[in-house]
Amino acid sequence: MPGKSTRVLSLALVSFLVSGTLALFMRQALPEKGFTLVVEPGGVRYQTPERQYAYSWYLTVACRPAHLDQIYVLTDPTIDNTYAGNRAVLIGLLNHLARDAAVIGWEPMIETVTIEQMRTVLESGRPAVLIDALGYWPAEIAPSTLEHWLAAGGVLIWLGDRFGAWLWTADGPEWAEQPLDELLWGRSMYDPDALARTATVPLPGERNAGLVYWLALSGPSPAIVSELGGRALGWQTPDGRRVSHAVIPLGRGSVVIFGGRLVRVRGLASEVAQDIVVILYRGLTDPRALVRAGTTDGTGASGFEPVEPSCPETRAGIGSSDPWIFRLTSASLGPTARRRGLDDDG
Amino acid sequence: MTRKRRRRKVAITRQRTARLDRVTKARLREDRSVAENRRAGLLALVLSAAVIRLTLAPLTAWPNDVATWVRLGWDVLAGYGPYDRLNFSYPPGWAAILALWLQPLALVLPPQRWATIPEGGFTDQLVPHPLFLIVAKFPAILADLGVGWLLYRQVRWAAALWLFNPLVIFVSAVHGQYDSFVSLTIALSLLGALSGTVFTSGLACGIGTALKFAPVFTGPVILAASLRRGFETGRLRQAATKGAEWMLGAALGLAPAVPFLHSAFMVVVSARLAAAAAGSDGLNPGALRRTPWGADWGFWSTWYPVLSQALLVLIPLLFALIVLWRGERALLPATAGTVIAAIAFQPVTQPQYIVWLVPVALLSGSRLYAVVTTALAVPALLYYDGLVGNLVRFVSQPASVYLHWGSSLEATMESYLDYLGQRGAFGGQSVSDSIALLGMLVSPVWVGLLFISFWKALRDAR
Repeated sequence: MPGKSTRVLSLALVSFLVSGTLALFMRQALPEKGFTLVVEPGGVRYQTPERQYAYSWYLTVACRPAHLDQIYVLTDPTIDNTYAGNRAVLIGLLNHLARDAAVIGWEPMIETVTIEQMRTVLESGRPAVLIDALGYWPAEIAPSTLEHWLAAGGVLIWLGDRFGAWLWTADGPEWAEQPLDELLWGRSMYDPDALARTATVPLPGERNAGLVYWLALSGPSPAIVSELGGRALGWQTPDGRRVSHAVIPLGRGSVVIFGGRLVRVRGLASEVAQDIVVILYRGLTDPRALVRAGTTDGTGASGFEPVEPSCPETRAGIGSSDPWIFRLTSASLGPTARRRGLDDDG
Repeated sequence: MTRKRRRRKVAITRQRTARLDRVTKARLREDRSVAENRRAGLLALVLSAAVIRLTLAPLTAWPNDVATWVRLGWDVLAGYGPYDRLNFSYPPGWAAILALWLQPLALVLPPQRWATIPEGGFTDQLVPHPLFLIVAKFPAILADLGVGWLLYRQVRWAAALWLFNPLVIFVSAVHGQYDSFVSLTIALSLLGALSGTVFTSGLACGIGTALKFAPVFTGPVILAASLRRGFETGRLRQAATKGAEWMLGAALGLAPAVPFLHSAFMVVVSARLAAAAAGSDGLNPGALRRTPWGADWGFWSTWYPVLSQALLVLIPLLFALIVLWRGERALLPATAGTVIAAIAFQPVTQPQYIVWLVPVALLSGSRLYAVVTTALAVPALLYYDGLVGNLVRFVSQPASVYLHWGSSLEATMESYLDYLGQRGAFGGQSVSDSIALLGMLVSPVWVGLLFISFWKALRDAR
């Protein structure tokens, strides 16, 4: 008798397992129709896919230079007192960056750098993306080096408390006399009266831009970001004094500020990685980027967006950051624009 | 005269036949009634166990863990594999089972409603929707009932001890974990070996490994029993055939998981191991390192992690050798001992792992095993309470968020954060103190049970 019951239960289990495996495979092997984007004279025609459930989508048109495909991440092991708390979270960020880029078909070059290598990158004057997720600015790298690199088109992504307020020295962390925002823009980007609150609400529609990291505990003031010619994105505290993301231009480059630290909030550092991929892939580092947002009940949306490319590297991107969709696709507009003789200030 | 006698004989024969028929029918009725009573007993047991579980399932969750199932479901709907976005760090078999259940759920409950981060910033955790919870917990609840059914067919009281064990109920119906699949596959593999269905035994072990890896530890012991069965028939060839049969079953059970074992799986496994190394040891002897008495003991903090990993491999192999030598009579204690080693020498022994051992302990027929493993539910539940300060409040977040029952989420998270900030008796945080203390108290139980298992497996050899 035990033979019979073990056979019945084992067969039931193996049937479940095989059916589940087939369900997983079928889902991957038979991909549903994705987002489409067609460059036409005067703009882009877009279509979002049909699904059985609602989702949000974003269309972006921005100057997206090729150097956004070159990403350096500061992981210097001498910075051992990380805000991340656990170096595994930093490794998690790197892994997620690579995987989230790969699933949308983007293959940036991601390299880790020490402080010395970071200095070399900055001094080279070659624009690229530099991620400092440790919450410290290396004291041995002069802010002017960063300023020149940003002016040349570099993009710095910062995660931590106030931008550059903590320096990393040979003796460990040290409070900076002047944080980087004051050194680079001559003023603070933070509201001195803003409280550190965990509660946030998404910025409406286009301003949320499909960003999912929602902490703004040490986020900059959206009003000051705007005065500096930048753009506040993502989420804001209920009083509107802090935001979770800001893109602030400097010369031909820009600084992307996250409103908090890289911490192990849920599982691995997936929200930060996803946002970095979304920001870079769509060219949201361009503060003048055009963003259109929409939601669909699943029937899909389509339309034509008139576009006037502002540089030869203008790209349009469309997709959804909703985790049950997470797809992005893009198309270049630059050469088309030149052919059609549209404005080109690049 | 002869005619008269013949008639009489026929009459007597008829009377006897009628009497026999009546007796047979009565016996059959009796047998049927016994079978019906058994069925009714099983039904009553399983139904009441199911009702308890299905009542708790939608109202409760350990949000950190169930959020992983939510993310897996979202990735599957997006057309990604379980590891493509590194959101899932469990074996692929469980991803397959979840995918099977969660895809149809999207037709009834849209994915954006599967979970929410409540407004107000009280928590950064996704709190799952009650309907999602029922669906995601249902497979593990079925596995619970499956174990109950198996046990009922062997020892009736054992089924009740399993089905109404508070830890078993907590793990599947409240926490949202699926350790009952480990219990089920180990029990199936063991019973398969005992009943001579060698292929099924291997199949169950393979399925269990595809689902949660742990049953792999019992593989050598149960394979040894199958080989031994072959040897008992007298030939090496028979033994090889039995072994091959078992291995084939195991390979087939494991096969559905293999296509998913690519580099991304290793990335999540490494991340999980790194997180485990940095965290608590749970209910195992390593917890001694976290106490004031063990912290300065060099052996414990330096050598124990290496020693425990060695024991995790060596003890199952040792039990396998004993089974090879002693045969099936050593199989039950050897399997129990192997499962105990697999629980006690894991880098982190989560309390739910105790559930792996319960069916083996109950099947062994040993009152000692049964009492001790059932009693371990108490420190296990205290451990969970020690992690969060107020277990009932913490796990009832779904009821609070979606049905506005019980304590408000704000009050729950405030008391939780207060608890995390408190200093404990050892001078550390309350949470690490409590769980280190429980780990230290439970560790001698593991060691004791391990020795008893060796003794039971070997005693016939004396």
